[in-house]
Amino acid sequence: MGAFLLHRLARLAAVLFGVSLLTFSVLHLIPGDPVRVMLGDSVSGAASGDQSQSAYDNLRRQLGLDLPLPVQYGRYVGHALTGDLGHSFQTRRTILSSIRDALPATLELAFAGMAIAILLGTTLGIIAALKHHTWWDTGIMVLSLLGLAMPSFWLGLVLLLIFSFRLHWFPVTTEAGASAIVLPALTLGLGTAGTIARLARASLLEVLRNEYVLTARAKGLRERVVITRHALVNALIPVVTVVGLQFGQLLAGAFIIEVVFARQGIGRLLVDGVLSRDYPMVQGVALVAGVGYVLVNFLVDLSYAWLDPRIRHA
Amino acid sequence: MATERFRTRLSRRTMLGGTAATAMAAILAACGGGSSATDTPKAASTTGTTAPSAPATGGTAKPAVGGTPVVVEGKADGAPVTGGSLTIAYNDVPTLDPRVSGATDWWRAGYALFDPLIYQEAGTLKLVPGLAQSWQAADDGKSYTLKLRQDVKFHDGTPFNADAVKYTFDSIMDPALKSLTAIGYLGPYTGTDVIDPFTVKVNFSAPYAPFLNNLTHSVLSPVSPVAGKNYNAFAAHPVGTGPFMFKEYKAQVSMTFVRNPDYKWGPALMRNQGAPYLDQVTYRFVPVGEFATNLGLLQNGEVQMSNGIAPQELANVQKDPKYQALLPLVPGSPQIFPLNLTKPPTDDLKVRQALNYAVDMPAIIDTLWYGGRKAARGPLSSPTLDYNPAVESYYGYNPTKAKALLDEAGWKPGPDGIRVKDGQQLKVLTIITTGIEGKNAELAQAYFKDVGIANQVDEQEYAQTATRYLASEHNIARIFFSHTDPVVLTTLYHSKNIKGTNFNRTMKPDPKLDSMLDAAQADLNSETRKQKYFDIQTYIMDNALIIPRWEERVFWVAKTNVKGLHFQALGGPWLQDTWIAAQ
Repeated sequence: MGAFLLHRLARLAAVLFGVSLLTFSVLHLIPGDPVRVMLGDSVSGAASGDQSQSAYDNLRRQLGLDLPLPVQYGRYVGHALTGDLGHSFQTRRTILSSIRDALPATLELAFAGMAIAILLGTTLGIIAALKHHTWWDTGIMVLSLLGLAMPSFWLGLVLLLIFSFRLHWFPVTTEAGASAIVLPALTLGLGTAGTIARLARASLLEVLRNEYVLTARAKGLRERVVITRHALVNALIPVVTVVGLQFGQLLAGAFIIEVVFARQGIGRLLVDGVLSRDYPMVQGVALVAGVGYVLVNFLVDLSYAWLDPRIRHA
Repeated sequence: MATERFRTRLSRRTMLGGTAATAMAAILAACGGGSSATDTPKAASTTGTTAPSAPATGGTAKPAVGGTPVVVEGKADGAPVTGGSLTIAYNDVPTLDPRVSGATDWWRAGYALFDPLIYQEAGTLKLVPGLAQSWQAADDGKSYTLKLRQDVKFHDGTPFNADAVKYTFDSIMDPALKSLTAIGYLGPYTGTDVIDPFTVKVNFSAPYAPFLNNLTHSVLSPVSPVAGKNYNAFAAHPVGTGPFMFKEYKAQVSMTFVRNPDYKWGPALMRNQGAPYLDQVTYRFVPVGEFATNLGLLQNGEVQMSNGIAPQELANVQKDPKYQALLPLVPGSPQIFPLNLTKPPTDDLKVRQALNYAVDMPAIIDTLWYGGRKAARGPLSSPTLDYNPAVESYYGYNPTKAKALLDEAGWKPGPDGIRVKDGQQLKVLTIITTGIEGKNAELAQAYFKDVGIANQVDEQEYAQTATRYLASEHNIARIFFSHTDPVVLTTLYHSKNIKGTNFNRTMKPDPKLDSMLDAAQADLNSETRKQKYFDIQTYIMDNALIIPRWEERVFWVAKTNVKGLHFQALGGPWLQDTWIAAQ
């Protein structure tokens, strides 16, 4: 187990290095000057253009943007290794404190969305598999396809329009307590629920065709025991894999949903960061998202071992 | 400012595209969602006829282009009620330090926490004593002496005095502060002399006529010299002398101010010079451009006031007795299309004039804004100091004249309707941000085609357009710049602003225009200065350096029981006169 963990940690470091290099390069490749964005259209150097120019030069120097790119990257990595992700160009706050404030909201959304996706997805998938070739099956498959096909930003808007603006059942923004999570989580979870339902159905159908299931039935076990104790456990392994992979998707979805629902979160930090060329912010959020993604996949690997003892021995 | 540039940032509007918007049209119409939200104005000024010293008792109205009366000031009927809290849907503000901020949204909100040295009356643009009781310019224009109020203290208990003013200005000049706007407003500042505890002399290296006007801006408001020392801490917890005190800021969520019970130094332009009526003001942050969210928040009662809703909702809100729509105008440069004088074919005066004649801008603006904006006619918005009404006689929609000018310039109609000269087609490139800006360019494109001009429109996010403007790739650019003083023309037309800031997107140095601008900026005589700025405005129009588009407004919607709303010259509400009446 120790070697396993060590191996994983090394992989994490490699991934994070890749993430940092990639975000740094991409950020500097796309056109756009962060200082120009900071000054915007109405830095009213209105008073004096000379002064605006010196403000511009001063900002570039203060932010270290006048240095060669490799030096900038080296500095960034050096600071990051000591846990200093720098200050946001825009808000002047430390990146760590910005992320610390915003991350719980994103995690809350991602987990709530994932919970909805897993609950809804597996339940519907199992029903569809057990009621194979009935209207239940067809209905659930059509629904799951719909869930998959609807882009989350569109779905979010529709839900908002109907349940918040029209029916006033849920608040529009997140400041209003627990009920505020319902619509964003539904928006986020429905698509993934569709994926999970289809996969759970296919996987369970396949497992049910196995001989050990036949054996279990032949032993005279009740159908419920056959399904829960024998079939489901095995059918769920591919589902768990997909849940792990979907977490990245879900995080990406959460970023969009945060904008649609005006929610707090690191997704909005990232979107605003990209548009304002707030390099430290984008790099910081990308790093944190990278850590999260690797961590979740690590947990998924661990859960395989728990679900299937054979993997532990291998 | 730094925030406004994002009016076009990623939002449900841009992600939606047209498809979903069309599909949802019926619901949108019923629920008031926004599908084509846009640039909200950067700053504004009321054009109300009611002088703030004589309290308004009824709304003041002006006819808009579209025939809908546009109201610029709220009602102040009934006796003011003390207590209660007001929640406003607002854009997030990046930093809370006025010395640093480049965000129009913070400038407007900042007046609640910070008193400027001089207040300015919206509309008349008259200067009103604030923390400075009186002021005097030196004959050479290189220094100003300010006499300060002696009964003022900061929220942290620090007394307000000459040292505080000196500290504020000196710290703005500190490179480590990284000031975005205030440093520009101080111009050729060299230092402040403390003459006595309540008198300062502010010195400049050159005559600096705009200084008093700049002092009315919240970014130059005195900050507590004690709290202000730690730049990072101050940005998170600002301390001023204003009618409200900072309580808390939750990133991406909200910021809250509470009443300053000791406040008794309100300026004469307020009806209430003492502590404000409201216990608390909360700004609920909504991502920029999410106008459907704003309206939903109002309808759900989660906020009582909103900064901006979708333009197509204006008429509905005006009809609804539950709401008041208030649209103060913004002084400064209106929204314009600057034309690139270094790139063919817009290097040719006749082509630039033809572009101006070819497009029916008032009709486009009405379509875009549903009557909520007024077409601009020159390089300054009408509420700006020294606005020259003579610009209104220039150009105007006249396709025949546009075609004649193009003929004169040697551009003859080609086989496909696009004009040609020496085997070249007459093509212009517009580079513009997405959203309503882009729509504006698309609508103009059709008009250009009618007179034989092929117009490519590239719609991109702000940061990309800024890079391409600097590289001089455009024929037609965009810009908007709020300021009460005509010195804004230096920012947009002086050759020193072509490189670097690139606020001058005409791209070509013009020594004559430079000297006109320099002379006007140094002129302390208001009459001769006015004549200089009059001449500059007609010079810009004679040379067709721009195509004027619309005069910006700030779009406020509030519940009817929010009383006493009147506005700063830059379009934010004066909250110390605001109260919430029982419904």
